[in-house]
Amino acid sequence: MPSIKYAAGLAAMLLCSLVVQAQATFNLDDLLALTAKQTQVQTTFTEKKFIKGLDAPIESSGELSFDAPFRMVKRTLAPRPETLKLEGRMVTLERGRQTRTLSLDDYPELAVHVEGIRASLAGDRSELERAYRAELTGTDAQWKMMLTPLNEKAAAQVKSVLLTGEQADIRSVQVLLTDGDSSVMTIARPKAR
Amino acid sequence: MNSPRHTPWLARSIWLLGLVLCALVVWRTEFRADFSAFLPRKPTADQQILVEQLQEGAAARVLLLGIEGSESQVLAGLSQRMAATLRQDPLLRKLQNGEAIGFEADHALLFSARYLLSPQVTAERFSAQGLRLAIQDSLAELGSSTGLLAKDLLARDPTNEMLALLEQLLPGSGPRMLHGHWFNAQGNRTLLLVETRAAGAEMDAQEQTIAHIREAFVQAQQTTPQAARAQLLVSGPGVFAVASRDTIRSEATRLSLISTVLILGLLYAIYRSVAALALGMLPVLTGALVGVAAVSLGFGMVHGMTLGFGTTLIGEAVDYAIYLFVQRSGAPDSQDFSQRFWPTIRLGVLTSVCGFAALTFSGFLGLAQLGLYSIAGLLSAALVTRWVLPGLLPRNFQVRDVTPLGRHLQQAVRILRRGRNALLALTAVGVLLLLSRHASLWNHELGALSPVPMSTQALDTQLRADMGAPDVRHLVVLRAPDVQAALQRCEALLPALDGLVAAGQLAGYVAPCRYLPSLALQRARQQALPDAATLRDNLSVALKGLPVRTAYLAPFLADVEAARHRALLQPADVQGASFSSALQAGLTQTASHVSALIQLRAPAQGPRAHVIDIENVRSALGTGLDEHTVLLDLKAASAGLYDQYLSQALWLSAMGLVAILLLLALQLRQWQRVLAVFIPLLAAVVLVTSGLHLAGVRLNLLHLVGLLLIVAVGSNYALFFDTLDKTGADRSPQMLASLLFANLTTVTGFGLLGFSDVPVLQAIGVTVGPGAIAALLFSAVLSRKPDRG
Repeated sequence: MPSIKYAAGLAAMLLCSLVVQAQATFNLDDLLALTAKQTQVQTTFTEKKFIKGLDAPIESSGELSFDAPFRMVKRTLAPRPETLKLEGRMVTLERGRQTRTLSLDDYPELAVHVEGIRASLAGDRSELERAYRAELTGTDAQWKMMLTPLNEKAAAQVKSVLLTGEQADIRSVQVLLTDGDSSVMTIARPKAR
Repeated sequence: MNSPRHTPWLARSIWLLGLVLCALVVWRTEFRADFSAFLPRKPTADQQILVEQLQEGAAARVLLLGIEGSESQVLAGLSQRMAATLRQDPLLRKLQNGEAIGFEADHALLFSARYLLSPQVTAERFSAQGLRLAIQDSLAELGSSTGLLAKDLLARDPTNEMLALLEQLLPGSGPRMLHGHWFNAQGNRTLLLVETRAAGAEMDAQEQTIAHIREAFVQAQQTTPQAARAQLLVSGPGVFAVASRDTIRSEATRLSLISTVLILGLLYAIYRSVAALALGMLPVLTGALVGVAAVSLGFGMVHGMTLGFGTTLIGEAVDYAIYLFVQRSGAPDSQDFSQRFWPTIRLGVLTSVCGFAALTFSGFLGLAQLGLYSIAGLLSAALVTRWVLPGLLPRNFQVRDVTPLGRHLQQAVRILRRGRNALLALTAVGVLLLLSRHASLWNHELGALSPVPMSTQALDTQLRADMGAPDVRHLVVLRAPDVQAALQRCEALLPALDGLVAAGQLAGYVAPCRYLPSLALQRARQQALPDAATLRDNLSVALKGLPVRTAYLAPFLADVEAARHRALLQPADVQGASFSSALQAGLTQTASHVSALIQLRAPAQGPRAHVIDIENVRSALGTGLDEHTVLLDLKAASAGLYDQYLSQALWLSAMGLVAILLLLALQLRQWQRVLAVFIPLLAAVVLVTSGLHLAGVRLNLLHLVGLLLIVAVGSNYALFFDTLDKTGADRSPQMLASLLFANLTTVTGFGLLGFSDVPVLQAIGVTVGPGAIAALLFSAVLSRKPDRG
């Protein structure tokens, strides 16, 4: 009986989708709860910037560290050493003999690149949603979080920041600029939890 | 010395005529209250530049402001509102608070002229090899965390000249930014930097500027919510100058008012006569008028400092009247005074004049004026006492009979004389002490004279540290006939300075030729740029293996071609730029020449933090320095200038002492008498100096002036005791009493100064107050013939 077959098929599909839905209920709070558990992260990164007009991406690499809740350091080692330190609302940029200290609030176009990563690592939802609209998809084993900047100045330059991760680890950060250029930062699995 | 009947009339007429003439001179006198008192009379070229810098220089125009006491957001709002008001104020040349005001216009100007302005523009850099290195560098820059923010520049500026320009024009590390404004590291104080239009030495204008700043703050406070508790802090050379002027003025006024009241009270207690009181002031007042007139004629102007201290220095003129009155009321015939007192007073006056004459030779204008003032003032006061005052006294002039008091004093003197040997021994110890400690006796720091309280100086240090803007101290100053020549000279020095920066000896420097290169250098850069075809060829070689194509860099090719033909940058072209004030400050034009000024900045951290090794800089600049190009350490140079004054004043005082000895020898003709007069003075000076030294005081120029005053005033005492010895005891009670009164007035006047907070006043007070007492006591103790009265 084709109708029964059809109904059974429908029921199976429904069931399947229910199962999928049950798995997909991994939500923002779940993710942030996961990441909030780790108070210290030490890892390395490589970054590729895709700029139109250039035949090859610009590559850089270095170390990334995070101390809950507010301190994040991105230490670029190649091609040119540089340290970007994020403490509270302050950014310190050290390059050669020069050190500049800025407030995140004064440079939203810079803040948009780093704030999302830190807020995610810290598991701080209000901090995250202050700067972005966040959409989470996937499962705890493999998730994607799309961040859209709320600040006007930041949004003029950055269309979105896409974080992908596994469990509490962020594994990549993709920044898409409004002009079509982009950057992808690939983050190694942290050495120790 | 006989006075015929007509003499009083003649003397009185000459006196009145003199007063009128002096009044006329004073009426036309120019009074100044600027730095000039502290300047050398015949400055060397170096000193001239130093003086120009102290009076006109950029360092003296800077005011540091801080606002604290509220939430950081409120403070930033206050800074913003205040700045908006003050940027419109014509009294300010510049205000910075971290706001990006005018940056966009600056950027446009710098960007369009980058190939003329950037020090990296050379023919090598635009060769294939040079371009390759530069472009590789720019690509590495894109890899940095701010790379994406600057990526759009690549096509137009692949050699990154703009970044090089910004790095050299903008200070390396400004204060911390918070809410779009400068803050201290703790984030609880917002910072502003003001450059006044008025020179640092224009105190009235500085005062007005500071008042405007305070008004702007109050206004901002009223329009900002929750700002009621916020406080404004202002510091800088202008604040110091105004504050010290006000402090000295109010202290001097307050203390002289109190001492005048006290001295008048004392004199009334002695005289018991208002007429005597009024007449007694005549010699001092005449002396003051003549003193001002003499300085005006001698120097062409009178400094405020001379007015302030002069009257103090001729205070001993009050004593003359005391001697006359006390003696006169005992014996109404004037012969006694003219024969017995007058020669002594005359010698006393001459002794004082010798002491002060030393000052007139000082290279320090302020001291020289004080010297002349005192000489003219004392001489005229003495002449009035001798020739005018007796004639003005009423026939039955009478002050209180002081003979009983005098008799007690005689008794006291007899007892005191028993301490003779002890005092001599003590003096000898004092001499030994001073000789052994002579290296550490004097304070060679100019700051010792600063009336600015420690708390105010601490605030300044704090704000400077917050701002990361240490005091402008090290400068290269050069002179040239015109702007272009000055810029070229300036450029010639830069390679050596860059070397010092690279070696970490300097954090950087601010040079006008960085903001505006000379036309010659701009032309050279223009000529170093290749034509379009060559550049295209070079690029195609340079880009081999790099991820950039020549076509992508078409905007760069167009910009370079435009730069090759654009008009050179003239001073007028940068007028509107936010850095034009830095250019103005670094380039001053006078009628005869243009001076350019390069500020050197000490490293902010590391082993050489806040220290510039001036000799290193000197040897690095080498032949770049000549008679037109001077390396200046403002602090050391002012200290050196002061030190020079001090050494010179010490030497002149020694000469003065020799002159006094010669004068005494000439007048007294017996060495025992000379010693009897001289040793008490010496003992007073030695013991006061020792006392101050043992109390931890390091002596400065004003202490020295005080020591001279001890000699000037004390010589009268010593000479009277000498007279007492010579002429018997019949009039000695009155003489002793008048000496005591004279001493009391002096001690009252100077003793009060000793309680002042102003170092210069306090120094004179603590020296002369005890010194006058010591001189009187020691004169009594050491008077030559014991137990004769």
